[in-house]
Amino acid sequence: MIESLSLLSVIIFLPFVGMLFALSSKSDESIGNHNAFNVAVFTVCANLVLIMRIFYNLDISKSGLQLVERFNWLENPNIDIILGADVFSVIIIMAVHLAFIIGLYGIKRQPRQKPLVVFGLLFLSLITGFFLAGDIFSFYIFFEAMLFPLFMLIGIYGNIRRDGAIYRFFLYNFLGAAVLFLAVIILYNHQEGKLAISHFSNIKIDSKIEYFMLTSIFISFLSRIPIWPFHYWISSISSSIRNPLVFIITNILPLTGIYGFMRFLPNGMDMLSIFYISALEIIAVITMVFIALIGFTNRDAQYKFFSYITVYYIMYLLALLNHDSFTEINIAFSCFSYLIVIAALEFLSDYLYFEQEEKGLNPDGILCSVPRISFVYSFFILAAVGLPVSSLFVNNFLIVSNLMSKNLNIGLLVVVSQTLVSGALLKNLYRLKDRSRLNQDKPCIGDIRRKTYGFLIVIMLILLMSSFKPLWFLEM
Amino acid sequence: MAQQILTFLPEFLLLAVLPIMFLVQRFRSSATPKTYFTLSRYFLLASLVFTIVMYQYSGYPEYYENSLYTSLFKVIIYLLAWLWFALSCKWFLVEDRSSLGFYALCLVSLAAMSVMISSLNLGVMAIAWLVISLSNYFLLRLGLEHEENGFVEKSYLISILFFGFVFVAGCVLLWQSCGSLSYGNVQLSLQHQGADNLQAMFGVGLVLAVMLFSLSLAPFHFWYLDVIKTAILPVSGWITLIPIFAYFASLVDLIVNMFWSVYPQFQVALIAFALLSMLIGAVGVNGEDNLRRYFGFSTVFHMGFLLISLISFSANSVFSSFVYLLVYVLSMSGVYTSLLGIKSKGIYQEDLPSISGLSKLKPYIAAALLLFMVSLIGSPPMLGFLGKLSVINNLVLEQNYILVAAVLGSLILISNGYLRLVKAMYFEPGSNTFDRTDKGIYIFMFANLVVVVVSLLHPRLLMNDFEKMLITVF
Amino acid sequence: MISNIFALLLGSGLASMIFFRERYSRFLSLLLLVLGGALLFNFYENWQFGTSHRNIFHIFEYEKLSLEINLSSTPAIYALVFPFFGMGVLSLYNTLTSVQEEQRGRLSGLIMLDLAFLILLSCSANLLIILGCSALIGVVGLFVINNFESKKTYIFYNLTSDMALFTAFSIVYTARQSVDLSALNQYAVSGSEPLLVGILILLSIAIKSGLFMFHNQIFCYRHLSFNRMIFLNYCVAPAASLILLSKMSSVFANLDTCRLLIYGLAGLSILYGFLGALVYDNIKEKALSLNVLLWGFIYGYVISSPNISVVSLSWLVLLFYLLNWWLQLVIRSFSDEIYISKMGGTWQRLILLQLMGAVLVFGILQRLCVMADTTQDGQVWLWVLSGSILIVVPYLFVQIFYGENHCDERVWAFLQNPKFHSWFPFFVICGLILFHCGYYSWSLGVAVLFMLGLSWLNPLRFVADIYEKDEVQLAEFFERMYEYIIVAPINILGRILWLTVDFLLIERTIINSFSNLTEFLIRVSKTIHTPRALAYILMTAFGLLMLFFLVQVQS
Repeated sequence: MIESLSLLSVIIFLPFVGMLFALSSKSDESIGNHNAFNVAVFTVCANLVLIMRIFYNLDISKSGLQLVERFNWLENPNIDIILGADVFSVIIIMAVHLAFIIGLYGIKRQPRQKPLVVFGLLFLSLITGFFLAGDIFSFYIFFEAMLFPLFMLIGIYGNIRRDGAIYRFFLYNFLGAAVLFLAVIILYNHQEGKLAISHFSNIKIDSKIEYFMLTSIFISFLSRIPIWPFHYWISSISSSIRNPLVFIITNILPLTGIYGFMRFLPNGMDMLSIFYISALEIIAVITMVFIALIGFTNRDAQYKFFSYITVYYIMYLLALLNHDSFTEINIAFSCFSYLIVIAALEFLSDYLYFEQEEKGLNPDGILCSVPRISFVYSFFILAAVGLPVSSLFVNNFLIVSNLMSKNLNIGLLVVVSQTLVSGALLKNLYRLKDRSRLNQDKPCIGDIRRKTYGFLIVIMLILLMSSFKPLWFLEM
Repeated sequence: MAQQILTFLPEFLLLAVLPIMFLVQRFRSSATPKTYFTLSRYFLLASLVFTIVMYQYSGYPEYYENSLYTSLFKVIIYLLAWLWFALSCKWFLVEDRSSLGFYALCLVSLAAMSVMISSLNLGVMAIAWLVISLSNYFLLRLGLEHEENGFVEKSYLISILFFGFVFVAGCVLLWQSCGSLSYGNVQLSLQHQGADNLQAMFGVGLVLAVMLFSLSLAPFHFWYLDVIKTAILPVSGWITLIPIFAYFASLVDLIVNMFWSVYPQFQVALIAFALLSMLIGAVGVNGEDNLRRYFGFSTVFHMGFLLISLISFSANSVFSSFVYLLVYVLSMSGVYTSLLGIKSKGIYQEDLPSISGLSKLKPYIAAALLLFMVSLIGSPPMLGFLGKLSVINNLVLEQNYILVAAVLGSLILISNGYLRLVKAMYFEPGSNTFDRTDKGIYIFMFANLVVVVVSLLHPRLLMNDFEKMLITVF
Repeated sequence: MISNIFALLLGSGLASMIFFRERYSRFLSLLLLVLGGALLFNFYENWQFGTSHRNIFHIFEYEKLSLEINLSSTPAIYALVFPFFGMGVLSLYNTLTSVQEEQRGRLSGLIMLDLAFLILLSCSANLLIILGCSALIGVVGLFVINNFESKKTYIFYNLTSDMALFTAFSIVYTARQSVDLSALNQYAVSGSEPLLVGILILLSIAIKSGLFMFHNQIFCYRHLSFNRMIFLNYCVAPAASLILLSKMSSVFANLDTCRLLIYGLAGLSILYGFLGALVYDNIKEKALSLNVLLWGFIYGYVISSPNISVVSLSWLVLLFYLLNWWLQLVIRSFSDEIYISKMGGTWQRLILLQLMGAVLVFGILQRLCVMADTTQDGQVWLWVLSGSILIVVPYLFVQIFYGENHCDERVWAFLQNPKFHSWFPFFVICGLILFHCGYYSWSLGVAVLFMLGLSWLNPLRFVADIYEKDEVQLAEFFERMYEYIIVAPINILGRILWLTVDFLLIERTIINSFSNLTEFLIRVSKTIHTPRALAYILMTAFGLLMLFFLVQVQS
């Protein structure tokens, strides 16, 4: 019965339906009526249940896309929309949903929730579709379509530097989407018809077209990843957005570039691919060290988060370039915790920011008077640093080992960058915990409510479970 | 003979309503804008039915021929005209102005468009073109409140007279070198003479220049921007949405069935016109604050895009550009419907700053406008993507990679311009208040969105049959 | 079974952290002390009975990686952990009795957790678990430190240390595709980068134990209360480092460069510790210097004597722990006066305290003699340590008890010997150690006589002048050095990169170029599109000319 429902399509459309409900809901936030918010929470939770169901239907030992669904969309050009899932994509989708729900909690007390929820759910629907795309056309469609809700979110919830941020966002991402579109069309015509993503890495085309196509594809994916010179859009958004959901969504976007590389990287590396990959590795490593250094020295907490996020994404990218299925699944497990951790940290960081803004406080020492938030914040920072409280610990070890096996120098630079960004996060944490700089004359910030605390404890438990067994939920 | 007369029944019906309208105006004291709309609607419907019924009949094959190709365009034009008549009626009701002139001129123009699409003779075509252009001129005269109208009116009249003269000159030159103005004869003659006959080439060039002028391609786009800014809103919408199909159909017909043998000599020139239009359109959208001109520049851009897509005039390119045109018109009709719903203190808002914060006060109109804008950008999952896909796919098939790069570059530039509107509506705080919007506007907007969504989910509905009809032009 | 002890320590530690209430702090601390004592006894029994158990809990198995928690016990593991366990229980006692301690229950819980992780670290043969334990012990230390500056310094040093370990293990896993400890040993013999791995492990251990160059974090503990300081110095990171060294010393066996580095660091640590113990006025700093001296000796000694079991050193560590405790009692006797320059002339009133010190020093010398007799390797290090002790301890005694009286009136008025709850367990432990050691020889007597002679002559009296010199007492040379050598260049480089690449190149050049180009085109477009007849004419003419020109070109 469940299988016949086309679960993959359902998990794409459920957030979309939720969006329509949220759009039509009446929200009077002045009296605490959070209809749109409740709709979103319900939708995401319902989708999470369905995602779990998909996990049970998946054969984890099998590689390649499973539960494939196919729709004939166009006849000239002949385009089929294919959806399919594997362990990687479903883990990532689950992590994205969990990160989203954390983000939702972060906006609970903010005004103007409705547009946020509407565009957020639309984004969730599209990014879910993206991770389930089984053919190059649906891949491209979701790849570009998800920019629209994000653009709106950045525009609506950005601060005074918003104009610059959305301009950069537009410039980089639409440029990237345009070149991917071109590559997809070329590929489509070259292959004379339907092309499943899983077959992409095995196709053989002549070198001229390959040169052009690989360039286009690489540029489009790189435009999403904060790698030089494309990193600037995310850094400017990260430092100009003070909304946890928008920040989380923005920082999930680079994952689409990483995912793209995973799906599109050629299987048998020829000279051209090797040239590209070597160049990419050099740029990636330089960017990583460069951003880690800036993150370490920059006093802005948001920039520190950004540098942390960047270093991890680049590490995933470098690991993916080695093209190893074992590493891929490690990246998925690592990403699972990573997305949850950055979402939780952003949620807490924004909570602190708004509290300190409201009460006119310095960030120094504000955690001293709030034990709950201090505890959870410290936990998530320690998890982010890579302590054995989440799957980041083991999986990052394996990812770095894999990198070192290919190139020791790159592996060492990754570790150095990780140390720098971890140091940056810790520096920020201890700034917030510095009792000596606490202004005793000013009022303290309020601690998080018990419900929120309980929610975060549940998230912490999920992380802890992931450190013991990444797919623990399959054995429940 | 009866069959020959019946062939013209659609055009006849369109013109037959005119005397009735004048009689109504003369003898019915309580005639409202709706009265003329009702009359136009019924006759338009009848004309539509007869167009469908007689889709293959040709009264005078030398001058005029119906085919699946012509009928497709006519049906689309009639349907769009019907939609626009209905929406315009709202405008006339709100403004409390007589709609007689508008509907009468539009019906005349429609009849001329019908003739132009089916024409097989350059002379007939020139006359039809002149009628359409003069109708537009008189339509422009319906709203003369603005200060600069005098200049626009005069310059538009001079432009159409000049290009009318160019058209006639082109016809004369072709007549002299080919001995006939019939499509078939001219084609045979041009095939025989090739590109060496300078007189004929000059004639072809002049005729094509008129077509480019009609399609408002840069640098012949001036009239269009000024006219749509100056004219009343129903006229702006009319000029933007309707004649374009007729010109498109005629241009394809002209090149495929008449100028095909010399077309390679004109291809580069057309590409240059297309690229220039795209550049000027995209830049204009980025810099323009007047909403009418803003969308005018957008049209200039899309016409360039359309021409790029059309450039090889193969079956594929005609089909892809037709899809693009359809998608463009659907989006643009949505945009104009939205503009009809944005009014403050009784005045239709025409400036970008005046619609700041629209999303907070008119969320549904803002949302609809947003979706239409996304569609115009050609971003998935909106319908515009289909158009973009169709065009780029065609260019890639023809291995025109430089054009592809130019198209994508200009698309990014115009997207930036479109996002200005989105920014104004959604990101900027508003100080303006807006009047209540007529429910009919919402219904039309919703219907338009339904068409867009259905076309998006089931594009085969849109494409399969159209493709078969379009190839009959060859 | 060691697994039961581990579970009880972990469970009680976590429970006390989660359910900690300020009101029941002392009671909770007492409860944990009783539990800790009982577990120590059980531990000791297991050790003495030589019980061995095999307890392996599999966490997961990947295709190329299996992870298991190994809590198998062997007598060697008991012997390795026992002194630390003992010091942990002593720390529990110290926490309960310390008047300065504000959060006894919480600190006791942390001590229990730390002991649990130390046990797990000792038992583990899996590199990932070792790495995890090392990191978790670091986290416990972090929670124990209740001073911001100390915390900040500690976390950066520990992070670097754990990342070094992480990197070393990654390299080993890369080569061997195994996270078993044996893979590390194999790698040391036949790996491609053994020197790099050796240096990384050395770096990690040196940082954790606070050897010279990395002693800053240790010196930051001076801001903490004495009981926390002692616990951190002997049961947390340095303890973990000693256990790590015992597990990985084979890595250095064939690496001369590493051995040379360790000798260098150890020698400098001893020198620095020795000088610090003499010149610092603050007793806490003197204690910390003595710790640096001790850890320096341990590393030098272990590396130079491959046959020496690290276990034997644990007793020496315990004795130094007691030396720190004794110094804590000195401060307590002087009403919390921490400057040694404000002491002296108190020998008649602090007989018991002197006796405690004498017994302890005798114990230390006795243990050094035993070590000297056990093996001929590393004699130099033993002589150096012994010499340092023989010079520093009499000097300390002179400063505290003899010489001129510098105590202020308040201190003098409240001067008192340690209370029963302090001296009694101290003597019991010292007695047990002396009894356990049971070594008496002429050399021991010579050493005692030498110390008495030094105390009498006090040849280092001139050092007391340095107490007045602020540039020595307050200077934080190494902190500044790292600031100048590492932090400042990173800051400057980061800033330069941001300014040149992010701001100048991307923002001002690439993005602004697009934006400026668009603006320029808009200006041109606006100029062209003015409603003038001339514009109409020119554009129409231009269009027609363009058409015909291009047709001409094409033809």
